[in-house]
Amino acid sequence: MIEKKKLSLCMITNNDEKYLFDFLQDLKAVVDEVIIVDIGSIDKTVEIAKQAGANVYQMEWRNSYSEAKNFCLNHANGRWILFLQANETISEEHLKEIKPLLDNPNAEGYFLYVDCNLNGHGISSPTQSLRLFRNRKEYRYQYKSFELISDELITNIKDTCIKIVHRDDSVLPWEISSRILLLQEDIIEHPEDSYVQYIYGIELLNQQKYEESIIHFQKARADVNFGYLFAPHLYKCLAWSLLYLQRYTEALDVLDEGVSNFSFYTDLLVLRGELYKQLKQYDKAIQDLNNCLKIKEQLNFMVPGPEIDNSVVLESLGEVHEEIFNNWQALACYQKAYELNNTNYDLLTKIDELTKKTDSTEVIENLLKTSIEQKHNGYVETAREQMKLGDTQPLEEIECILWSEEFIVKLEEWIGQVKGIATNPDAAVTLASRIPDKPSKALMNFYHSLNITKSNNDKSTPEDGGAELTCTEVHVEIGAFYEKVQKNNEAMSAYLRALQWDPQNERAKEKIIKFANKSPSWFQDILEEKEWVYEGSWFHHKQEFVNYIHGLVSFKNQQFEQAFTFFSQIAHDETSYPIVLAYIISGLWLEEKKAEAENLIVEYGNSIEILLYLFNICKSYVLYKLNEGHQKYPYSELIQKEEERIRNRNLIWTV
Amino acid sequence: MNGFDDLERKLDQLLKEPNNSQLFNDIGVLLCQVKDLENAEIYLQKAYELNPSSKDILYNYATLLYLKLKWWEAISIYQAYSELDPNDTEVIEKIGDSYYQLCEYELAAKIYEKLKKLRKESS
Repeated sequence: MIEKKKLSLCMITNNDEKYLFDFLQDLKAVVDEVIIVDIGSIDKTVEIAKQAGANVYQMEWRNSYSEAKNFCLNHANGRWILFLQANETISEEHLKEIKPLLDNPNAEGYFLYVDCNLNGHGISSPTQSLRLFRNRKEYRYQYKSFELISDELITNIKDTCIKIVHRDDSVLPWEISSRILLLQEDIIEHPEDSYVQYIYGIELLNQQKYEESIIHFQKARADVNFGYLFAPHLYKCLAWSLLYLQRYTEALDVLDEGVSNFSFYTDLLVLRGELYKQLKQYDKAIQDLNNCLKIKEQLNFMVPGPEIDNSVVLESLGEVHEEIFNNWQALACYQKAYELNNTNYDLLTKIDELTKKTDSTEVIENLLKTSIEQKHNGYVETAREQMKLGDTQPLEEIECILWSEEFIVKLEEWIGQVKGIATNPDAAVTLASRIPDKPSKALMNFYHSLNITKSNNDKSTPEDGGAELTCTEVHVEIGAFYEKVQKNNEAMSAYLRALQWDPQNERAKEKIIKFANKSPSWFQDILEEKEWVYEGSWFHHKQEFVNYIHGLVSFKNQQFEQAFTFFSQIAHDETSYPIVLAYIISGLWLEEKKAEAENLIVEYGNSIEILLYLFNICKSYVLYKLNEGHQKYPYSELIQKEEERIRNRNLIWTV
Repeated sequence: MNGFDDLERKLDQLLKEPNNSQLFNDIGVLLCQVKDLENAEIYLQKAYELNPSSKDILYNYATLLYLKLKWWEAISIYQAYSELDPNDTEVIEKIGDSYYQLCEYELAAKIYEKLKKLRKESS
């Protein structure tokens, strides 16, 4: 005995080759058969459908969606029907939810929600969501457009969370236009039909023709049967148009009737609450909105389900409380609303204002912290919006990240403007070394004699001769060794020597600054008194090097004027001058003296070199600031990731 | 009794014993303690000239020279000390560090190798 097919996928196609193959592949595992009625494709739609194993029927298009769909239903053998279009899809996760629904003996059909954000067509009837239903002879569509299986024929429709997503919204405007033309024919054919009048009202509402829409909604309301599925939605649309036109008395009449007949359809309570708010009847508004929240807690399976979600209801309730100076209650509502929808940045503004009024700024901090901890979608954007709010409490680690992001973007833009270069964070540019930074055998022997366990890399062992380590790295490691055994004098010498080889070495700079800030006089004595033996090719005179180090320390401490004084003492013909100049320009840029910075770049011939140094200096400044954040929030993954991202960021030059 | 009283007493004593190397050493150390490194060097140098074979004087004088970043001079005095006490690893280490400060890496490496051997033997 052959078991009857369970689910038939029904489709009407017309030149749908673009998505058809993928569509059928997606649905293959769920449906038992595919019935396609093609209404005149001239592309490969039919061929693709047949290859995929679909039963394809061709029919002449006679300006009726119902006719085509019913023709399709006539050929379906499954116990259930799923109606979709070729440019629609259902996520794998939601597809899995379909099969269990078919075993429910108490359901005749299910609503699958169409997720379509088409501009100018945001309102649609819930009746259009009936896409999954039992295959019964009596279940046939009527009307040429916005076809419907009459409520008098089908009952026991259940709700689902399954969403139908449009792959390509560009097809929709054409389809909607054609449907509206057919709808006008339906109106002529069925002038007294409440459903047709209601659908036509919706189309006028989508076109923002409120006055005209009201006429058709009123006609529909006059004849509507309260048992129809679309009836509550009709009341909502009518009330909405009246509210928009500030015809409050009529709106209240509609809403009162709607609420008393469709008590479960809470959208009407929300609209009435909004209306009471406009009428300054705040007690009634609060009552309606609170009732709405209560009902929604109790009834989860109402059909059609209300469309206005709790975050909107709570926001509206918060606004009412704010009007009557219930600031704490308003704040609580906004908070709950934000917890439900953390992409609503207007709520943040409202919360921010109220926290100031109620002197409870910790509320917004906690909200954001929760958002960050739970890593809600768009939480960085949320924080960005929060930053825009102005004098709020610090946003902790997220503030560091946003600052860092914006800083680098601004810097790259400015550099791009100055030199007309393009930036590319994916590619690396390195500055040519002055002389090979390869350590001597003698230095490596000393390095190995210390039995150093390297803190930062594993390039060298005593056995391999340390061929890959640079002089800078060797001195930095020696410095770390001396620091560990508390020989700070020697450690500082080692780090300073590393800077002689690479004046921008981050680790050496960081250590030197630490020493300088910890014991300024000791640091000064060592630096000034020491008879330096110069290595590398950057520095040739004691005072040049001393000024560079002092400048560096002042720069890192954000004493840019002081840094400028030290750096300015280094002569233009010194080898280190390009780096020194880059520091001077960076300082000006950081102090927002962009014009002065640009003048200096123009004055100096080799701007590319300067800009590369400048980028590295500013990048190092950002890393320094991020490191401060890291010290404060040592377990912040966000800061760690940002540090890594910034560290790997480089300029690329296009010629 | 504070450092200055002590220093005053030693200086009075020195007037009576102008060739007492230990007094010069003690005054040098006291001057170091009050951070007068310039004068400390004068007294310790005199102490060393009067008694170049005193381990205490050698150690103190070398340490002062090291503090004053006079590494070549420090090395020669540390070496003199090391001849008197070849197993003092702290002093050998200082010699090695001085060579590093002077960029004399090969010599610094040899000293540290020697140090390693000594430490191995004594353990």
